[in-house]
Amino acid sequence: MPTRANEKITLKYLILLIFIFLAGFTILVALHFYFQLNILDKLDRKTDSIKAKITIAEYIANDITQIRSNFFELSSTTSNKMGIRLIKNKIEQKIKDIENALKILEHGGVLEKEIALNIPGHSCTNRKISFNVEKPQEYISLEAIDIYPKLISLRQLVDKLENMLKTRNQYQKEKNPKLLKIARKIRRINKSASPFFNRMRENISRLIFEETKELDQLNKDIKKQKKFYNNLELAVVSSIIFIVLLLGQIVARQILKFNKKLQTQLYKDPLTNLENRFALLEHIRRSRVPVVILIDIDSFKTINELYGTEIGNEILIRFSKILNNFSQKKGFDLFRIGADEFVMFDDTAHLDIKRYKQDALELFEIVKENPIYIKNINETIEIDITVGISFEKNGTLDKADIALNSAKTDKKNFAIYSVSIDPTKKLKNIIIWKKEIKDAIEEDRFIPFLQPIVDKNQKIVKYESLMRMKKTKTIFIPPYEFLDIAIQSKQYHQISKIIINKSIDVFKNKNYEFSINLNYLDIANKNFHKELKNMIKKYDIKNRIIFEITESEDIKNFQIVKDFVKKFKKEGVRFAIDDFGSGYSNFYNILEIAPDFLKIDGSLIENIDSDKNSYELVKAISHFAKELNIKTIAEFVHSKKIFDIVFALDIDYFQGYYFGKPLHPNNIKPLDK
Amino acid sequence: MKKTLFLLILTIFNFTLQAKEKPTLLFYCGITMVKPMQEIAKVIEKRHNCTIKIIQGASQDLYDSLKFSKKGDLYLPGSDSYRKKNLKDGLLGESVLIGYNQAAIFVQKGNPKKIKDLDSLANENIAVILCDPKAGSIGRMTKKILISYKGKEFFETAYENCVEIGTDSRNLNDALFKKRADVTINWKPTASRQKFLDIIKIDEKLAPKKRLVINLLTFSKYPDIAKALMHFSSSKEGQEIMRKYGFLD
Repeated sequence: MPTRANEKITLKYLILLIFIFLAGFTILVALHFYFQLNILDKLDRKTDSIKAKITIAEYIANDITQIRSNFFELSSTTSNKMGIRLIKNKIEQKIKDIENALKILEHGGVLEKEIALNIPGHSCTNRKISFNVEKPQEYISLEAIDIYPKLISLRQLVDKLENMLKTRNQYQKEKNPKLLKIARKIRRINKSASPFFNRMRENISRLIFEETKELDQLNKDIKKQKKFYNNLELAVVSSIIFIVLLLGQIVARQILKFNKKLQTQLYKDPLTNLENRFALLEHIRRSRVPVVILIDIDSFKTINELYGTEIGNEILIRFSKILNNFSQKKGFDLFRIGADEFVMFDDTAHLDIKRYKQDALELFEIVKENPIYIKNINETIEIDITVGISFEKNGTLDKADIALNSAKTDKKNFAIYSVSIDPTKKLKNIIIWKKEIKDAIEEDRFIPFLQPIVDKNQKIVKYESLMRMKKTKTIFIPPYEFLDIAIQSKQYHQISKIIINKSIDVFKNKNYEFSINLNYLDIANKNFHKELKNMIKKYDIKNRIIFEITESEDIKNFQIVKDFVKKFKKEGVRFAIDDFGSGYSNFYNILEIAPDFLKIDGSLIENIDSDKNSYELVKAISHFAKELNIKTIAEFVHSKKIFDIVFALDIDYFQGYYFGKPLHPNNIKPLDK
Repeated sequence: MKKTLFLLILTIFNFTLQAKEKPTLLFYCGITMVKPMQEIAKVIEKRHNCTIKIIQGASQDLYDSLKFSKKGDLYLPGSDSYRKKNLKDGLLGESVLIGYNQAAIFVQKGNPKKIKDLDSLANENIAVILCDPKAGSIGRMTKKILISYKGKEFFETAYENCVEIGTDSRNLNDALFKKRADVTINWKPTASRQKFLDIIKIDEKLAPKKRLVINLLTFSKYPDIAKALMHFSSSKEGQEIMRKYGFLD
């Protein structure tokens, strides 16, 4: 639950973080648009407008200067009527230009001014000045207010002067004495015109000055607004970064906390509070030489079923405490890796197998001495454990498990992993052998080896055909290494058939007695009976061939054996019971078969010189065989001493290295005559 | 967090408010009175969150302008004669007395040309500057003084003798300051704090004190603010300002 709560808090902060980031971004975009479009653009437009206004005002000032010049030219330059009219028209044109400019300043518009260039192809150029009035209703053009009335006065003044000039010219013609008076009036008009033009100029110059001032102020405002915007933007960005970092830190902390909790959960067993399998694997991975002592509570499932999971859990907790005390004492780290599986782990540089074996043995004692008393049920439960130990660097835990299973299978307290107990190795071995057998069949590498059997005079009287697989030119593998695999992989029949055929082939033209080994599988294979029968008939070997049958646990239905023996005895074939005395022999069955030979198991013969029991048993078999008129053969006769002993026990035939190893058919000696 | 957001929104809102246009008043003010009126306008701008544009010039020019444009709120000429003369046009509404103007002879500091009276204005050895009677109020007053002093002939002689005809009180003083002229007739208050000139009083019979009245224009768009300015100018606070600039001496 706290984890879920943490998750919710983390998610909440994360959503808040994203929200703030998006909100911040939106605010920044909004601020940008607000300032750029609403304020700065407006100010820029205003700046352009003021600049246009100043330019137009400058044109007006220029026009006033020209009017002034023309005005004084009017009274001083000419007395010609047309000349006066021409100058007056010039003045009128300039007044109209000023009026037009004032109109634009008042209501907005484009002022077009012709600028003389006097360059080839371009006598003049047009300059356009655009001036916009945003709110004409509210806009006040001070220029228009100041100058319009003066233009009216100017026109009046020009008219007045023109009339005076006309009168003066008239008086001049008439030589009228009033000429002086009119001349004085003209002079006074000119004198008063000068301040009049000054006022006009001042008006327009003052306005240019005011607008320039406003322009400066506006530039300052733009700078200020930009600075404010930059500061605001910086403040917003800083705030967002600060908040995002703050929240990010909170989220990161939450995640770390959460992660730590998860790690604890990942590496801890909640029941015993011991570290779990993942933690152990981590320890193994980091170790130099890992020592894993895997402890399994025997029949814990039964305990659980009998007492219930709650008691089962209590037992596990109490048991873990016992193990923990022991582990601490011995310097092991303790882990719970499964329901009832614990591991004592050690990481060592120098492996002391004896020490760990001793520790395991001590552990059994400790567990035995500490039965677990459960108060609730008022019962003391004795725990039995099985231990598997592994020192392997690779797959340590799996190998400890193999050892544990091996110990359980072998009903041992503990086992240490070795390749020999490793079923995976066995499996690999089977696969290899299966392939090897297949190849050997295909390459015709199965060969019968022949070992001589001698009589009491130590003369070779027959041979036993033994199966061999040719590995190299000199290495021949005996069947105990692959026979079980061949049976499992259903390759036996093929091999057996090859050996029997090859054996018969060896002896078909030799007048030797020879025995071949038949497995229960051969006997049970009825199709093979016919084939065998035909071969015996074909080569007429019924009197020379002896079938050796091992009376073993593998014989599932003895009746089949009996029927087989009966069938071939009818044909004249003799039978020997192989490995007699090896422990599986059922005397009743043997009697029913009535064999011609008993081949006494080699394990009884090879130590007969030192093992009294073997001696007595062989003696009993010899006696028993004599009673039943069955010939005996002693195998594994490897020395003269052994021969002498079995000879003394009245054994009929002898086989073993003392008389000859199994040999390739090409190398066998002829029978002794 | 919420507070920060609120503050941000408030700032933006404030900006929007600031961006909104404020009422703009147009005040036609004779050049002589511009300085105290600027001070008074600032107070009113602050109090009424408005902009007062002072359009300055010669009193007659200003009246011509307001008459032509029919725009504006207040008119303060250099003399109340302009009110009397133009009242018939119906453009001037209620008025308030805010101070006085009186003409005097202005000479260079220390009076190097030993000017004693108005006769010096007709002296060809003295550089004279007088204001255009058709422009500023001082021009009109000068004309009155000179005619009252020695008749129209003297007035014309004096104007004939001028090296320069000025347009208002400020450029008369400027001609003295730049030593283009030795003498002029100007409004006394414009001499306050001017270290380059001395004043020679004119008999009050010739140059009586002229009343300074602010006139509310009948076409004013913001009569309330305009009246507030008029009221403030005649108040104790406003009068202090007028006194500071010599209009109540």
